[in-house]
Amino acid sequence: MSKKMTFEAALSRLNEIVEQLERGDTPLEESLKLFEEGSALAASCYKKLSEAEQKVKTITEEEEKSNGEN
Amino acid sequence: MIQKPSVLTVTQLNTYLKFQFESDPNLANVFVTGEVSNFTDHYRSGHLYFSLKDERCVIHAVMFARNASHLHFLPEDGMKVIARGRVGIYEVTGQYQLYVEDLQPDGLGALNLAFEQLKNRLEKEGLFDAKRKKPIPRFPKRIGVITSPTGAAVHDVFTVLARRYPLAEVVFCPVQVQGELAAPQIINALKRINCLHCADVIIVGRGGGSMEDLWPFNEESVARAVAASEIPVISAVGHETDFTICDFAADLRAPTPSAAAELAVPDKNELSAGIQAQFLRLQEAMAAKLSRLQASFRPLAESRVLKNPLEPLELHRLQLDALCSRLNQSVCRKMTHDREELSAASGRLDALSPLAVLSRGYAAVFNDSGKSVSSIREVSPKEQVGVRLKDGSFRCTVNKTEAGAKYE
Repeated sequence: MSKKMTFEAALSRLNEIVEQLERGDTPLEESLKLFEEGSALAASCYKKLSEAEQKVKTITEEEEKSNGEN
Repeated sequence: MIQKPSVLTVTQLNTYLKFQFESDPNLANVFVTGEVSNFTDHYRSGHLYFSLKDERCVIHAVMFARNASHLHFLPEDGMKVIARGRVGIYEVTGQYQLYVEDLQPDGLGALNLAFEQLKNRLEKEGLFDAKRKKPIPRFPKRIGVITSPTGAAVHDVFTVLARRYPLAEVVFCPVQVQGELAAPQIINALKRINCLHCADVIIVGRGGGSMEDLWPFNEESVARAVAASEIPVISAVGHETDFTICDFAADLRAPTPSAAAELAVPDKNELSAGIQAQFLRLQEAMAAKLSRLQASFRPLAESRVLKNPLEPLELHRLQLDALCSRLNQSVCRKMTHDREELSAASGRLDALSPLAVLSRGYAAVFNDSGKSVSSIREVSPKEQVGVRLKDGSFRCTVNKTEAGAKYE
């Protein structure tokens, strides 16, 4: 899975792969590639969720220009 | 009032009366209850003109723009009100009237009335139309939060967001949520977040409070700012039972700030479970694919040729063995048969053999050329002949021949 891929994109790609594999008409070689990609996506999504920590940025009128972090 | 007859101008009289009214403390601050009629809203000036009446009487009333601007509701004909003000005379017309400073609906609270009126007006305008509502993104990357930095609401929202979906960044705009400054600050925060494009969804709200406390969220200007936001807005004001104009103008209404946070983001645990389920489906689909393929080549794999490639050879060898043994048998049979035939033949031969005659004591005579002699005419005296007996032979010389009986 690409590092740049957003969580949403990764999830939707995973769904796409599952559906394609479930249709069962993909040739074996490609199926294996899709399976590998899907497993990697699932692992990465899972990891992202379990490792994420919320960031809070506070914007006040005075800080508007500097976008100070909280 | 008049010591001696004198003639006054109308202006003098009206001015005098005006002074008389204004100097009467009983008229300086009166509360009057009555029904509004002949209501006229001078949009240009902002002054309100109307009459108050009861069953018998009527009094003209005016509310100047500077007082009318503080009204949360708009009076209308037939409305029961309590007016506070002073009684004075408009000297130009000599008309005495009630100069209204504050107006309250009689019965229903002013704020309630104002709420209903504003709600109806904006609803008619289409500000709350379902087709105006923007969808809330399923996976927001940034969540704008506009609320007080000190209330319980901000804590609740942050806690829920962190627990449910820590992937998203929180963009917090602290504002006052009650009092005069609240509405302009909330509007400003909405505009700033929209300007900076720094959120995918905005939660605006506060915790519970009195209707007065929640009032900024019933301000028309706030409702319009919420409706105008390009970024979807979730409104969460007060408790479950509190409805504000802001709620109607927002793209989504949440009963409480915590609920707003739950509506704004998906749940981490549900997502994890979903991903796990997808992974299982992936594995199952792959396994199904493999077993289908296996099933399609199993008949081939289990064909006898591939399972036991030597079998045809063995079959051939068996056939060969069978043929060999049949061959052997037939050869043996033939030999036995021949042998029997031979012994039969040799038996018959024995029976015919001259040797058998010799063995019975007879002799055979041969001349020198080896020809057997069976008549006396075939020998002459002094001729050497050979005589063969059963156990050998001897030579002898013919002395004489004598004819005799034939032995036949």
